[in-house]
Amino acid sequence: MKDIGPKTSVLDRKIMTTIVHGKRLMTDSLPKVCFYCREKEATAPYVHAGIDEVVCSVCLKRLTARDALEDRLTEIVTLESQGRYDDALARLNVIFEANRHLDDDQWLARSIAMHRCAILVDAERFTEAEQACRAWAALGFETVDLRWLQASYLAQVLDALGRPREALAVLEEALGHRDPRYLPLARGLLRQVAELSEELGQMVAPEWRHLAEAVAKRFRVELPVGDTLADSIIELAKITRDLRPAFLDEWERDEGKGGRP
Amino acid sequence: MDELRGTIAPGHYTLDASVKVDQNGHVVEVESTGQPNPEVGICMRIALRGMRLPEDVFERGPLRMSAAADGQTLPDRGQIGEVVTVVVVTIVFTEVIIEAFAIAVGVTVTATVAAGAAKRAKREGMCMPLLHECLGNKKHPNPDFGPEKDCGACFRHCKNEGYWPEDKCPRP
Repeated sequence: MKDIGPKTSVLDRKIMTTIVHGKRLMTDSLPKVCFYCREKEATAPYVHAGIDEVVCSVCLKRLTARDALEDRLTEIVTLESQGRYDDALARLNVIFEANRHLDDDQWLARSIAMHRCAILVDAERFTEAEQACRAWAALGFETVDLRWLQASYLAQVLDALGRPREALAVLEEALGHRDPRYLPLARGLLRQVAELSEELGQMVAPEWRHLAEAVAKRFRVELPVGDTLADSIIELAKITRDLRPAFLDEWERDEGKGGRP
Repeated sequence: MDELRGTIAPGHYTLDASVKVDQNGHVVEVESTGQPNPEVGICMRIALRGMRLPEDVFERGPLRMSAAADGQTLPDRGQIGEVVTVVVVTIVFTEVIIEAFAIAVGVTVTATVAAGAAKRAKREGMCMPLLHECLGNKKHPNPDFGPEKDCGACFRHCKNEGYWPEDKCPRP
């Protein structure tokens, strides 16, 4: 008998399993709902990296594509850290070509686009990086934090290419998209906005004050008082550098909110 | 300056120094121009070799304008190697004024590094073990963030922001 978690019925707990390729299991009977999408009927077990669940066929395909990238991610970022950027990019291409037939929801395409953008920024190959970061954006973003990450990279690239005004516009557009789950990650973008505004000799738009105050709150500090909003934001980034932001549920408790954002 | 004062005419000199800094901020190579005489250049290079850029410079990321560079604030006066103002774009400038015996030497230091490279290396050291840890346990305990952690994205956030996003990828 195998315990597959508290969400399963007594019947589900009677599933017998067989290891295939050290990862996937065959089953004699199946539970009802896919662990991953929570919608479709589960048709196969999925056991990998601390997950021991049952999933539908669509999600199994999706997870197989995901694992193809993540199983080699350490190798890729190690190559990147050694300055072997072209080798890292080549690995990404190989993974994509070998698994694109599994990538129905484009998770793999988007993730590889993200890593390509990041690697080229890291390599300071800014012209290629701009193309890569824009290609990532063209695939769309599943969550706001990824939109912000892309904007951060693209703004760094545009600034390095001597186009700070475009960089600022990219950041401000991205900050127009919000999700309280990822609020602490706005800190970096706000700092970039402040620095670019200073570089351009202009004031940070006052509309970002409220966001900066909300970010400060997640880090359990007040927004520092500065001569300008840019000064306050830069100081905020400095004083919170080593602080861990409140988890979403802690923050919701502090704010007296019960439900999801 | 005391030893060299007999060899230098009183006045103000501007010395430009280019330093290369390793990933820990230690100066490993110095070149200088504009010194009032070769001995001063040698003296400056020896002094600058003993310098270490403060960690804060790497951590703060790009600072756009030097107060000294745009003329709004005069740099403090101090000993050789004292970092008074810092500009980081992809390079670091510092400006130090040494004044003694009616001789003032303004030293502009350009550190071609590594501010970026050092910051990246430091963040890599922090983020890589967390990526390993994340990839070993991908199940997300909070359904608000989906069933599985996106470890690759968390690693990129970590390298870009300097901290691991624990909501998105909680540590086991």
